[in-house]
Amino acid sequence: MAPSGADASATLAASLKANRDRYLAVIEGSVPTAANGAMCTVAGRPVADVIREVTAGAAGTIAVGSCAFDGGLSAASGGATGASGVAPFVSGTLVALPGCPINAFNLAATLVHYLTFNELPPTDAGGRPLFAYGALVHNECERRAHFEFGEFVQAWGDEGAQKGWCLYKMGCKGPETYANCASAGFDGGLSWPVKAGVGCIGCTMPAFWDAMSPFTRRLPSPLPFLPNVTADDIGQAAVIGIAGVAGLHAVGSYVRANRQGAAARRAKAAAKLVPSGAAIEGAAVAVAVAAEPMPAAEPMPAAEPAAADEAPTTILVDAVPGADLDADAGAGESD
Amino acid sequence: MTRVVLDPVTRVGGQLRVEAEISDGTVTDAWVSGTSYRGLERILEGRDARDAWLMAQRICGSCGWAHALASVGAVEQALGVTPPTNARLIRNLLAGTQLVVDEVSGFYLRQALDWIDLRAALTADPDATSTLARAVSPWPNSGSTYFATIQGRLAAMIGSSQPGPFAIPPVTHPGYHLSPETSLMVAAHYFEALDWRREVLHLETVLGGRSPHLQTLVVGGLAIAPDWGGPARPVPGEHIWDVVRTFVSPLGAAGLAAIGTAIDSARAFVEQVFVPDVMTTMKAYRDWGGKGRGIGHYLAFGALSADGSEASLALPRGRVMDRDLTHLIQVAESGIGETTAHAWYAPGSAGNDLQHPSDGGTEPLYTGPKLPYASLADADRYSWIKAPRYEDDPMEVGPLARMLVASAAGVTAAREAVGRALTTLNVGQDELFGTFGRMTMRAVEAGLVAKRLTGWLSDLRDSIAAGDLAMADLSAWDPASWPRDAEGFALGESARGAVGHWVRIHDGRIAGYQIVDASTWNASPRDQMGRRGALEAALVGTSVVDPGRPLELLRTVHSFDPCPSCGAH
Ligand code: SF4
Repeated sequence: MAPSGADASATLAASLKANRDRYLAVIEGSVPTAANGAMCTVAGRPVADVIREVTAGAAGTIAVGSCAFDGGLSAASGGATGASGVAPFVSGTLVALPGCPINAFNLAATLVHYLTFNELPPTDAGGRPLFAYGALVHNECERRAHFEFGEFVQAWGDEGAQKGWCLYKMGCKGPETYANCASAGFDGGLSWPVKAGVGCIGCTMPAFWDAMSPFTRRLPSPLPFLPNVTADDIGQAAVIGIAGVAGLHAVGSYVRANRQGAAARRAKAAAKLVPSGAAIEGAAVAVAVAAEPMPAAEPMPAAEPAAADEAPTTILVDAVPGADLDADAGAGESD
Repeated sequence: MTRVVLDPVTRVGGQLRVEAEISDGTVTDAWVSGTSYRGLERILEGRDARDAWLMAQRICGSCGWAHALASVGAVEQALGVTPPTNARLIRNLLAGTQLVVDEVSGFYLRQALDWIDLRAALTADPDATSTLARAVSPWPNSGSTYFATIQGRLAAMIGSSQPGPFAIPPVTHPGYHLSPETSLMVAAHYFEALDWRREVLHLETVLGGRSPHLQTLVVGGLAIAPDWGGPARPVPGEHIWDVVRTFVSPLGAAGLAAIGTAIDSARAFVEQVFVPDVMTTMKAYRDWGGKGRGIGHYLAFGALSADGSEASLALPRGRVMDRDLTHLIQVAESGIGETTAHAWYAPGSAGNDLQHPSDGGTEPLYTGPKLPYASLADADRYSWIKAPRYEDDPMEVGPLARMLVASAAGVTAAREAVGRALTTLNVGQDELFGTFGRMTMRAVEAGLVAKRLTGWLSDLRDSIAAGDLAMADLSAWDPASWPRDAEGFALGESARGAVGHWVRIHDGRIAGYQIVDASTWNASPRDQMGRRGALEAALVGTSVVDPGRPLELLRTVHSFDPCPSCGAH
């Protein structure tokens, strides 16, 4: 707006008053709570006060971006601002549109929903609209078929990269991320990171800067009791398995444990074996083919899994990791 | 003596507060505070150095690209890798396009409302506006019906209870003296700039996956790959599942065409709308020539290198001291230092003295007044922004600094463009040192950079067509290959000015990280010797007609396009 200073505050106040209960508040950014709010002030007041004031008379509030959702980067490990999402300071209905950046499509869609139905769209327990955050990126990804066929980009710019293969091994977090990037795209559906050629960083998920990083390291082995198994092995084994080694059944599934503390990068998983077929709908069998003697079960790394990519491979396992991961991601993100 | 407080300063990135002392209608002293802090540098510590740029980029939604490039550049320097030709060209395309987008957005979204009078625009004659628009530019949207429609839209917005960006001050300020027609023309282009912006940023979405916050950089180059040019799979139908799997690379024919369209659109708008608007507007404000002068030292780190070397920077590196354009002075990274003498941080190992960023630290320590406060200026420490200095001197950075440095460096294209602008505006060179120069040189620079984009794209096409598919130097991708300790830095430019990133790596992880942003320079508080920052200095001496509505201060503040949240980070 053209005015600044006191004129700006007066313009805001007048608009809030004139439109009381008839406006939606759209808020971005985190709320620093350290130093009694001195780490973000407007006209000498803590920003939390401004948020309280603006949302008090709103018909509803939309928190856009990961910072407004859960504090975002400022709330990541190492942060000193006590950053929080806006929820604790908002009275009334709150819808959160996490993402770094937020997809403008989802904000527009939320507004259109409100204008059409006179209510904000249905959300999950975290306040995220189901239309945008209900599906797993991995399940809508255009590269998914390559995942199933074990066709992975192995290095930036390699043959697989040129052919648009799956980015799982390059650290894609799509199998653990709920968002509609793959179907909605950014900028009117023009592209999204995986389409351009780089893995998803999981930016719509809670605490993703800590939980999803390092971003170029592949997700932990889908079979954590065999930590040296790589996606590549799974891919190769899938080919073998599909070629006809059906019979020995073992389906791995794992549940990601809670993240440990702010500094923990990646949660570890608990594993359990379940009889084949019973576990996951549509899951093909897992065939263990020991090319070399199976090593003794390795103890699970405490905070971070070993860099499994670099370790020599001794086990080939046939599984349909996609389905496996789907089940897992749902469980893992409830924390 | 009157104390004037501007808080919030609207139309900036983040939280900015200005306090000024006015006596006899003239500013005698000024304090600029960044009132938010996010702690980015400390958050980067302990992380995989290959992720640094992703986090550093989040410093800003508009100039994040510049920080991403500086950050990845710092890590590349530390690890001794050089991005290959294709990656360099694509980075130039990304940087050049977004520099232009930010400069155009800077004018329309953040500065224009200080100069155009929206209230007057409602009284403009659409026919006369059309005549004016056609006189200054061949841009096709120039009919009187078009301007009448825009006028109606504006009237509805301004008159509503939710004027949004078009809220106007309660009374007209006597400082507006632009014709209603020029005001209406520029206001119409405000709307057009919003649409144009989205079109041009398609380039970032195609090459980077999304906009803002492109995701396709990697240490060593870029993650994107050209289309597969090798043999097709020998066995058709090898896969048993019937799935359609097509992949079109951003660098395939369609992607390159989209990039070409974005570039053409960028250049057309800059040349036919942005530059004429700025020139027409500022011609009416020639009385601002030489106002808001400030410290007169200009610093540019330079950007857009043709071959990766400093010598081939399209926007050169250097300093101009004391407004002396006859001498270009070299810039050495070692000359940069920061002090927290008047900012809310615990003193580092150098105490209040200047500390080089490579061994700088960031320890927030709020010592300001209890909230809510009425004044910050009376306290010794009054900002979350540190004070960077070059060899003890406060410096001004930004488009004006870059154009002055380019002129002093003898870059022909820059000299000619600046000269043409001076002729169009009918002012002398001395009028550039200040608010007037900051406003006009932004447009001049956008024109220069927009012209370069096509060349980089055709070089990229040629390179790929010649069979060069290399997008990244991956020799240092694996952290196991890294030295135990490494240090690097990168200097670059955002639209707002010089940007530097410094990184220390230990055992594959970030051990120390420092950012000096453009707004750290411009919106800096006083330093250990009590010298004002660039913006503070520029405010001193301004005459203010109505201390209750200090429009004159806003003009100078916005001419820097400050982003205090980047400045403090
Ligand atoms: S791992 Fe990533 S790239 Fe691969 S299919 Fe899943 S979402 Fe797509």
